[in-house]
Amino acid sequence: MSGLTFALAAISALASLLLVWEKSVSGSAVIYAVQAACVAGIALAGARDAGLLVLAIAVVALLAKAIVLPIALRRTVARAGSSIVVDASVHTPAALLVAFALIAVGFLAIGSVSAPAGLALGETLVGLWLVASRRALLSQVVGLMAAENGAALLMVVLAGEQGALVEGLLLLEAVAIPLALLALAALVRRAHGSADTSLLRSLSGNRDEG
Amino acid sequence: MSATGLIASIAGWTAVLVCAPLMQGTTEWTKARLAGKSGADPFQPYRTMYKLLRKEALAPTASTPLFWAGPLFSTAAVMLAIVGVPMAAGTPAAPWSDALVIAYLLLLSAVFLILAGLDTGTSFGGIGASRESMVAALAEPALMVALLGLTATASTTNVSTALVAIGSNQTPALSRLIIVVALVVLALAENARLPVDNPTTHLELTMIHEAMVLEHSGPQLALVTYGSALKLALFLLLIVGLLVPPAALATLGVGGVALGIGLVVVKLVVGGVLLGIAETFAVKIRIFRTPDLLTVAFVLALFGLMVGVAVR
Repeated sequence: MSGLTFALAAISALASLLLVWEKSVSGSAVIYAVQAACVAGIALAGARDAGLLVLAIAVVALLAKAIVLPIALRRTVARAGSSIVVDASVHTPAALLVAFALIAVGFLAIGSVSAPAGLALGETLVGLWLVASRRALLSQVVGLMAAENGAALLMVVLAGEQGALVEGLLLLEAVAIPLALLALAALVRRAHGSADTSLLRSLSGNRDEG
Repeated sequence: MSATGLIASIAGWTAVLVCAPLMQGTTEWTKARLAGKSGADPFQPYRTMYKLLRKEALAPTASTPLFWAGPLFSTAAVMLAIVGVPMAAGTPAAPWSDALVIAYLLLLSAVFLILAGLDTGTSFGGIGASRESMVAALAEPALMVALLGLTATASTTNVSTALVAIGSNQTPALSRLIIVVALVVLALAENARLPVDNPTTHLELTMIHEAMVLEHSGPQLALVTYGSALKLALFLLLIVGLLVPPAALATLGVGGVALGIGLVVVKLVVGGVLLGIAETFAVKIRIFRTPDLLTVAFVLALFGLMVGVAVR
């Protein structure tokens, strides 16, 4: 484990904790950008000796995840007309303590194999915790993106580079799915006037309450 | 223990005890200047305390001797905590230079003020005391974890040994930085500064610390003010100690001792200016958001501790 890899993994895990604290989706986009840059930075450092194509994919991943996705997230929020989303279904202090417990669980589970991998597992769990504890679709998308960052980091530190085809497909998945989900969230908001999943009743057939 | 080291420690502690109000004065002066006012000069807290010491001390009719003893014991506890912090590498600190003891002395200081606030028998004292105890109950565990994070990598709870370990780069920089952020948040909360509390307000809905000490006057109020200045200086010394590992000044002889005193004054003045700048741009958060902020500090301290232990 190099010192730089561990430092970037630790900053990335710290960013996932801050995502739990941050309630504004615009602010979350900035924190996500920092987290994605750390993960992509580790991948970039590992791809130096893996051939030009893999290196190019790592650069594209850095640009797509640290710049394009956060901008898309902020634009979706701007179009929705509000940047403040106070939507957590769990009280923030409790949610933060659970998030730290999840990072500790990840670290205790596989930290002895590789400390960055332990942090990455914790980061993935925190992302899933965000999906479970938030009500607005946009916040849930942020959680999913954070979980994907954790999974990507776990793969990079445990499995190393996987070849151009696998890396390219993983990048496509990492960028296309959040973009599709952001578009879906915008459609849901336009159709129902809210992207708060706790207020959506149309799927259960009760349109009057929606 | 060398005689120069002991002299350096005593000189450093004396400098902190004498110059702590200067930090508060510098903060207020900076805030006034940034707001476009001329402001009182940085030595104003000394004049205020001198004026208060000459005034008659009054006590509410319902109060007991606890009301008088509260500020005295509170300030004494902070002074004991300061003597537990080494002023430079290789210089002796008090035998109680231990992370847990320092955290508990700070809590003891808050408890005495809370008891004195409750002892007034007034609604303001009660409101302030209950709010202060809420902040203290949330901040103290975080402070303890932050101090343990500072000392754990040196496999000791002794602050003096830990600061030497930091000087020899045994503590990872990332862990130290995370703990510094946690300590800054805790320093603001523990010392009733923005964004947790506004030290200049006397609005009943927003006061925390000021409501608790509203009934104190004369020498008691001077002690409370002095105790607050000492507590702020203590946090500053710990934060600076984490960022810039203390040098072994005592080995330089008399010149080192003089340099140590000068550095303490510089730290307090620069800390005061930075706090003034930060408070100019900060707004007070609602009291019900305070647990959020303090939980962030707690989680940051835990994370810093985890990172430090993992790297070790």
